[in-house]
Amino acid sequence: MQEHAELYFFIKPTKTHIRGMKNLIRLLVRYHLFFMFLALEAIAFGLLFQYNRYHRSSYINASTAITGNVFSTIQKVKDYMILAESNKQLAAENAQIKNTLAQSYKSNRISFKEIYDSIFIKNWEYVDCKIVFNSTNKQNNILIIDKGLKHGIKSETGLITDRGIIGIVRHASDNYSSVMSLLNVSINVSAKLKKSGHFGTLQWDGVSNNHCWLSDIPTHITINNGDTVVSSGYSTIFPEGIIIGVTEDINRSDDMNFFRIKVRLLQDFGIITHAYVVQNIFKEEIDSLKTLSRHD
Amino acid sequence: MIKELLGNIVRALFLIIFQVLILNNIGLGGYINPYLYILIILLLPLETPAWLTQIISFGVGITIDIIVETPGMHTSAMIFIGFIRPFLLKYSAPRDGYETDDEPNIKSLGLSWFFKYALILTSAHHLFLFQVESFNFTNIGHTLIRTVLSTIFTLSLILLTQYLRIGNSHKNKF
Repeated sequence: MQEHAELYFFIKPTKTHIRGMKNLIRLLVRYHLFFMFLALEAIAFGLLFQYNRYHRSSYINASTAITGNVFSTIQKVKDYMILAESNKQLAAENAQIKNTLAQSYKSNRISFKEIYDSIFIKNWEYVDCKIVFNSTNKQNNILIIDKGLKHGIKSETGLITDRGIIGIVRHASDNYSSVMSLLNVSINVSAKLKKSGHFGTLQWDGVSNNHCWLSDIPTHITINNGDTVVSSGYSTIFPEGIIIGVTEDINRSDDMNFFRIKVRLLQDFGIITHAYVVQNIFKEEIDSLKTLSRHD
Repeated sequence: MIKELLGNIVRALFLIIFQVLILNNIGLGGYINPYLYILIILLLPLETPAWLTQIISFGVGITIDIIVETPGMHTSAMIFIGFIRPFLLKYSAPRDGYETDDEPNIKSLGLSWFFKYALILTSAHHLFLFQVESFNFTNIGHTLIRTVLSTIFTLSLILLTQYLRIGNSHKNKF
């Protein structure tokens, strides 16, 4: 009996449905005067709008305004619904437009000209580049330049400007390269005093952005403040004679017979925009010789 | 019964002609337009079914509209009072209901009852008609002034016809 009752539960809606129809008819019968009134008024207003120019224009204006409002509201809702999609589209379009802007392009051209000469073999190769990232406020500062493997940049090459050494290229990707700045506590650059020719090691102490320290200069030579410091040429990274800075403060180190010279850098590292990568064509040859001679 | 029917038809025809030929030409200062033809609905027998009242209202309204070439305007106003008349009669009935020989006029139900009855229906008709005519709500003030003034004028005419009728013999159903 219980199961049957449950079954009836599913049949019931039909009965309710019939009752609903009955209710509707009862409603129509009960309020037939009102529905009749509405029907007749509908006819009257139909005539009114059909045959009276003023009323028709009012009606059309009003209905246009109403439908316009309704449609604009619907459109607003729709617009809101597709906001995410249209944002995506706009972003794609923006990207497309920005891709056509001149400032989105970096020069892919390198000034490169081979000169074949039997007396002078080309030793150093320069590639101009643009600095796209530069840090100066850390202990291990780096730069990123906009030339990479595609442009023939190799790692362990030098980066210079006309005012001095900037750093050493460490890693090259297809289009970019990262450069260990001279303002990096782990960099060592071989440098010499231009006047006397004595060479030492240039290092940064991590304090001042404008100063490096030149050590390993023997104390028996005379050095004046303002002497020029240039690259030594003893490494395969920088050619000889690239300017670095001028001596500013000369100290004798405590226990050894070497000077410790404060060098003021000529290049202001905060404002570099363009630089040159300088590569030794015979670097590999020299390096392999060094490797071979390691155990000698 | 036949007599009553004939009397109503004659009255309707007379009032429509009177309305169209004379009253429609009266427009005092653009504010007063008397519409005496609503008397056709006002004076219908008390026992007239509500649906028939609406049908008659529609018929009278559309007749006037066709003659004065304003289709829909008078029709809609007439349907409106045709719709409310049965309810008005129901709610304004005397405490012990209408007598079988009662008629909606001064002689049968008294001046006070008839005045209220006529005032409500006339003002309802006029307001509806003038509102439909102006067909916007920015001139509602003008519409209301017209309604009030015209209602006063029409109501005066209605009462006048009532007294004319009372003065006459019973045979004259007008």
